[in-house]
Amino acid sequence: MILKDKEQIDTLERALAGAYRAGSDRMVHTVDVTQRVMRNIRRPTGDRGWWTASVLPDELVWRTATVAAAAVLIITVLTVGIAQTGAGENWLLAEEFEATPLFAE
Amino acid sequence: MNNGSVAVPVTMLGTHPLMADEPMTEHDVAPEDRELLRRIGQGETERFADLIRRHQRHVSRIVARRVPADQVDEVVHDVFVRAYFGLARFSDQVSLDHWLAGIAVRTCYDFWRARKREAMPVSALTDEHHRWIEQALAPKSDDAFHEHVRSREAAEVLEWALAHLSPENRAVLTLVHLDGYSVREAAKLLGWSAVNVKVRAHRARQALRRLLGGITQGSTS
Repeated sequence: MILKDKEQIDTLERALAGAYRAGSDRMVHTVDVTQRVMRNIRRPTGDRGWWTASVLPDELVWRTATVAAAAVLIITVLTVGIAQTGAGENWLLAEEFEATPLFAE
Repeated sequence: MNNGSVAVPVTMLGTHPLMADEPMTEHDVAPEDRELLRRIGQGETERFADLIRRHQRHVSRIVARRVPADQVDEVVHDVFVRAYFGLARFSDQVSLDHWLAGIAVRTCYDFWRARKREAMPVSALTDEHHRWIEQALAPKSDDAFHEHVRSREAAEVLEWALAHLSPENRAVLTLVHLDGYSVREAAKLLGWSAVNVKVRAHRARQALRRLLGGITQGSTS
């Protein structure tokens, strides 16, 4: 029964791959996007040159996220470091106060 | 553009040559393209229109295989806009056709990612589709097979199956198992690592087979 299913899946898979190729062979549709593309590339860049706009939205998001994550990490490390240093000093001072009697006999 | 020297890959269909209009051989840049690129680089933006006219048929055919017919114009437009803004990154180690093919494949992948985010519903298979599947499973001659796979229902069942895959699986399955590109070629087109594509290709095929297993059982019960 499993073997039969496997064979059926193979057959169906071949049929779908055939459908894909048949569809590809049929396609002679060519679009003309020249005017639209030219209108769009003239508009956003102006005189800035293509390099400034070469940062696509996806990349921009990733770069922003990376910078934000790095900033958070640095701030966290600094905060923890300062807190620990502060706690250490307090502890030393506390020990000093405890060790010195207020009214030595 | 494909020069026939490419190894014939094994695909879901068996063996077949690569699609003739998606060049994977990394030719040098054509002299006409090189001249146009030089002039665009010197500030003659209008020359990009000539570049579009030279390559839009090639790009249209790649896109038309990957997105719904009513979205082809939009995606082809996006491919050329991306290409223009990415010209600074173009390396003339490969042909412009090949470079544009990569942008087209990635733009189509982004199209399906956006669709996934919008959570577009996938239409269910109808009785007609189930009948087509039952006929597909019946033994038949080569001529009958070719006739059968050219039907509208065949295209719809294929689209139904692909719509159930993740955008990543869809992109890889289309390139490796349907178009017949090697893992290395698909990785270059997608801009992913070869290992990633290899793993994805395996998973995508398994996902498709699980899906087909479900409808095979459904249609025979």
